[in-house]
Amino acid sequence: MTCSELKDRLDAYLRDALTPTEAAAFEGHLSGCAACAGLLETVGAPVAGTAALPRTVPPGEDLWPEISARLTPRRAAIPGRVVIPGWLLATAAVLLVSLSSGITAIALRSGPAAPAAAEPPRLGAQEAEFAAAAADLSRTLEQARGRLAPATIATIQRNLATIDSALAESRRALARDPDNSALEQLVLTAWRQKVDLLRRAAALSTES
Amino acid sequence: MSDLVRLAQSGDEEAFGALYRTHVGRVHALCLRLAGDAHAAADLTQDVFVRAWEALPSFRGESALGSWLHRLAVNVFLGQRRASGRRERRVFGTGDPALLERPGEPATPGTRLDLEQAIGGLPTRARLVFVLHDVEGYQHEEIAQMAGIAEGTSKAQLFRARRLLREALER
Repeated sequence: MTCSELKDRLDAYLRDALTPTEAAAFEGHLSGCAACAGLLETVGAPVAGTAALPRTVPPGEDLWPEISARLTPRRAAIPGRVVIPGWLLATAAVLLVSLSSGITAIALRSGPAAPAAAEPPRLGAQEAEFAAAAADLSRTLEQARGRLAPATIATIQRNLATIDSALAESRRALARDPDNSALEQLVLTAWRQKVDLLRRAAALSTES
Repeated sequence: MSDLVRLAQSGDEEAFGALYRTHVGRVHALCLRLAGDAHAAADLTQDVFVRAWEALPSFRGESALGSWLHRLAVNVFLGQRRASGRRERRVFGTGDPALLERPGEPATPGTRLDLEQAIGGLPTRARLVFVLHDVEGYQHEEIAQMAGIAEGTSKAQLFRARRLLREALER
């Protein structure tokens, strides 16, 4: 074993990681080389006191206030933008299921559907009021659009599309069966849901 | 995985504060020895916990949180060194500029430094390897991987550090 090879194996020797043959070669070289023996004595063992160094050293001052101030809230994607609330994410699914189920149930109770009417049913006074409220809220929402995160806007639009689809389906069913009061109520329910969604979305945009 | 960790992962800052209080002493001790300077250590400790908050959702509990924080501290330190490319201050607990000019040597010959001061006076690479190997118990293979150096370099730096420390302590 050369001096260079000994240096390469020094750490392994100190950790008892050499094979018996390698260890014998290592020690054989040491016994005949004063320089390497001196090296082992100098660097082989850890410096006295190292093992006794404290593993825990508290900082001189409380660092938490500064750390806390630097933590980004886990759910805030973009500062100043509104995070999508859970109710908004759930709205579409609930509406889609309830309205579709309602239409199906009413249609089944009413028997075979009549041929579709060429014209949609006349808007009643209540529908007109809902439509006006929805238009007002849509304008408010449009004006505050810049304050909402793109993902929130996309979710609102998806939910509105779902409601509009359910509303259109209800109105088509009503057009086929104009005397069905249950379908009439379903149309009004869809409107109520649409206005409610717009109202909450508008409030969300103005609160941010 | 503890409830506190799960709460912190879900965004609970109070839970993360409790984890901070549990682990800060251990992390700060490591940062102090790696940075070699009390102010730099405080900054590094802050950076480690901020980074821990960001990375905590990816913590899967395969190791103890303390070990995870420990390795994170080393990575943050090495990352900052690589990014800055600047020379580090090598003085531990002293403002004597003479030590900056002659790392590894005491300001006044004959002065007996205690071990912590002597570690702080080591050249950066030797200090890094010494702290990780002899104080924290990492193997050369791990140190080489983390620091981006050859295993042989890690060994050489350790031997150098031990020699410098013995010389400093014998004065």
